[in-house]
Amino acid sequence: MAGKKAIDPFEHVVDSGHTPILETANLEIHGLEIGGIPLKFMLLMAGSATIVAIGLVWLGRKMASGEPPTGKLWNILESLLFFVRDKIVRPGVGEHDANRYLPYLTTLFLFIFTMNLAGMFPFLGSPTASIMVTGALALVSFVVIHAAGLEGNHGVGGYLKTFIPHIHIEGGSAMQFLGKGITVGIALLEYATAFIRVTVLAVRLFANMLAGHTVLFMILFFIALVDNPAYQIEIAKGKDWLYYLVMPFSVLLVTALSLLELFIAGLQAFIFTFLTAVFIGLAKHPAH
Amino acid sequence: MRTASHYKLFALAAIVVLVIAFPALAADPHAGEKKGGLDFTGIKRYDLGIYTLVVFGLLMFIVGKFAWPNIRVGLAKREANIGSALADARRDRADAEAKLTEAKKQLDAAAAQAKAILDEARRDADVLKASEREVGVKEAQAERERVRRDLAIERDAVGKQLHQHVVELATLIASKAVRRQVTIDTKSELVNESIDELRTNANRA
Repeated sequence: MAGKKAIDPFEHVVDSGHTPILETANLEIHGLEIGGIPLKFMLLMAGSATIVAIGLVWLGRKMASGEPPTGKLWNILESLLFFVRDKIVRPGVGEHDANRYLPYLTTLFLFIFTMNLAGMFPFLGSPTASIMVTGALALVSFVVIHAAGLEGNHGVGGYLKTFIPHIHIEGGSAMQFLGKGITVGIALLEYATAFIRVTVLAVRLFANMLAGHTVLFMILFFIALVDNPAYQIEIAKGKDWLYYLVMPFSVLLVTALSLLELFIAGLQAFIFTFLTAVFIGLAKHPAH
Repeated sequence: MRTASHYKLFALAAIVVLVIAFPALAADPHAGEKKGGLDFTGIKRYDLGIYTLVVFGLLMFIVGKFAWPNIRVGLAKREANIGSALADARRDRADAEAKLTEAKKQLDAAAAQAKAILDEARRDADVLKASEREVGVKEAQAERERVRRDLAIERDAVGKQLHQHVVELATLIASKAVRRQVTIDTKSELVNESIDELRTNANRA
């Protein structure tokens, strides 16, 4: 076991100052950091934001003419825009307020989707595999959700009252007391839910992206486990044929799972944005 | 348009500057510490969280300033175009429905006219059939009469011929019997006498 490298399944998934390109040839990109802070995710995030900004600005210039879309790119971008509007914003927020929240939710969806897709490119990574990235986006959603709630329910007092359930219990004073106790309990739970909802938003996106890319790495890493002397497991020693068995299996499985991951990149962006839209709708028009 | 381009260039430049300068501004004081535990989640990367907020904020600002106004204008124009197209389509539909109603009326009138023509034709056919039948019956009656007359003539002729043969035969028998030659008149007289005698006998019987 001497000289054997420790396996870190998250090394290739988390933010890092160096990016291995071809490990067997010791080909790596170094120095992607300033003051010890890795820059990979920051660069990818900035790149994603730039792509979204350029795409939307270009789309805006094209759409301003009022003409029907022509060309593949215009059609794709418009399809995405209308998908967000018709499948996320309108069902979640409601027809009346949809146009108001469309810019935020569309930008959010495209930003997350682009960052998720960045992880599908070799040697890159998905910034959404960091809880602080998803947490920051969830924090923005938290602000937007509760700002909508404050606006739609006549201020802080009115909005806070929407968390209190209306429980009607008939009976004596004991039953009334019980009813008030249940009301207070559910209200506290509702206040906690306001925070839990966005926390779950952040954790769901982060966990899916981290786990997905980690699984892809580990399945591909099976090849190193049977062939690379630095990582080779005991049972693979002296069995060169294992490489020819494991390698195609790993590559094929990773290819299949990459397709699944591609779908998940879109799905998670959709879920994050859709739930934000639903929470905005619920905050603005609470059930009475 | 040039101003918009300048804004976009400025925005892109701001992102680039941010990318380069932000990590230094938000330097993690614990960067040199040993990693482990939940570090793989990036839970201590406050710099990344703040950076995300700044980048997303900038992105929202840029698209809010340069993209969404145009998209809104485009959507409004598109909706107006769709609205006018819808109004045109509704008007065309109303026209088409009116034309359809008119065509149905014409079709109904044509159908009624066709029915009247058919009825008239049927009536004419019935009349014609009746008259034809009458003519046919008359012709058949006349034919029957003619055939009856022909039959009667034929019967008379055959009777006369038979009568002639019988007379000749009887004459022959009689001449053979009496060995004498008689004239035709004598033979006829003899036959008639014989027939009368037979009738008389039959009446008596």
